[in-house]
Amino acid sequence: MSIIFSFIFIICVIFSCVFLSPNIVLESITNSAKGAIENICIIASMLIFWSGIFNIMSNTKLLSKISKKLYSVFSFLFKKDEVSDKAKEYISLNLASNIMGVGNAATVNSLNGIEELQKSNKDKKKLNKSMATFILLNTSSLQIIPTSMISLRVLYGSQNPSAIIIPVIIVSVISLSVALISLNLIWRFYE
Amino acid sequence: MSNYLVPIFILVVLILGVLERKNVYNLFIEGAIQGIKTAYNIFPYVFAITIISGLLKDTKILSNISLFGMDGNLLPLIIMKPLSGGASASIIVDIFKNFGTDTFIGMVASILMASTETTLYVISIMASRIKLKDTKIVIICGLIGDLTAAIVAVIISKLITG
Repeated sequence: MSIIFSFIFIICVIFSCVFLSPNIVLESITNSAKGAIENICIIASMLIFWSGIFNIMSNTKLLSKISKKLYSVFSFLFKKDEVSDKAKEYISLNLASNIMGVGNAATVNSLNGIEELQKSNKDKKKLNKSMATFILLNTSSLQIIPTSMISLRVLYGSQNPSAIIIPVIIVSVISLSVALISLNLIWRFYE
Repeated sequence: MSNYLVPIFILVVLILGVLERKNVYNLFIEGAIQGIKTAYNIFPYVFAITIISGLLKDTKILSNISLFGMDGNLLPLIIMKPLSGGASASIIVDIFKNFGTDTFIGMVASILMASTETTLYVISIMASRIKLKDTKIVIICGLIGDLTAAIVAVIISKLITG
């Protein structure tokens, strides 16, 4: 991440000093800093709300049982001995909210889930395979119906706004599979 | 139908909490405190990514590169999407305004935007929670996935738009 961050930063500053005006750098940083504060306010407000709701949920017996059942659908992706019961609950909630497209709820559970996985991780400085798989599941789009994209297409006068649904599912499945397969291939060198 | 899912879910949680005689209010507050801590911890990461994606957008550096004969408007999207949802949405709007939604470029952009996530953003936030420095392996695999998505989206859009 450090390489990506410094690379983009350096290239942009050099580019704007050489080809554009040097003022753009500070202008842009000022604007994005303001935007970042606005962003975090929006993210934080929903994060706090969903954390509250999920805390009630994980304390009710029936619902935590149901989410553990739900986990069995996804269990083939993870290694048994690396996932605790609490982690199973968060993983299934995370994947379910991702599939339904409730982004904020998914974020809360992705963070709780990775924390639980870390607790049963042997080497705290390294990811284990279940953690890497869980992160990759979150970096790919699991949402079945891309509602916000469809409404954006409607807004800009598309003749057939929902024509993207099937292509999107195909692309998501292929890209997720490739990501997971490449994880399995590279894993040996990581360990 | 899917509009009802979230309200019903919240309702079920609250009703079950009350039925099982839990202190629903206290549990909510407890969770909310955790939520504030989470927000506080991820803030610097959100900040850093917003700054560099803002620079990428404002310097318009990406529209000056044209790689492998690819259209200058798709490449910015492919590079921006892993970093920021907001900045890539503004690229999409530009594409829709200039090329329309149902053209080849419009289709590729729509499919790509909806079938990938903000990979680098997600990884840095999740890694921040467990204070993990070594994220190389998931970054590589995640970006391989995004690249695959771009290639497949181009192929499918070629087939659809002819």
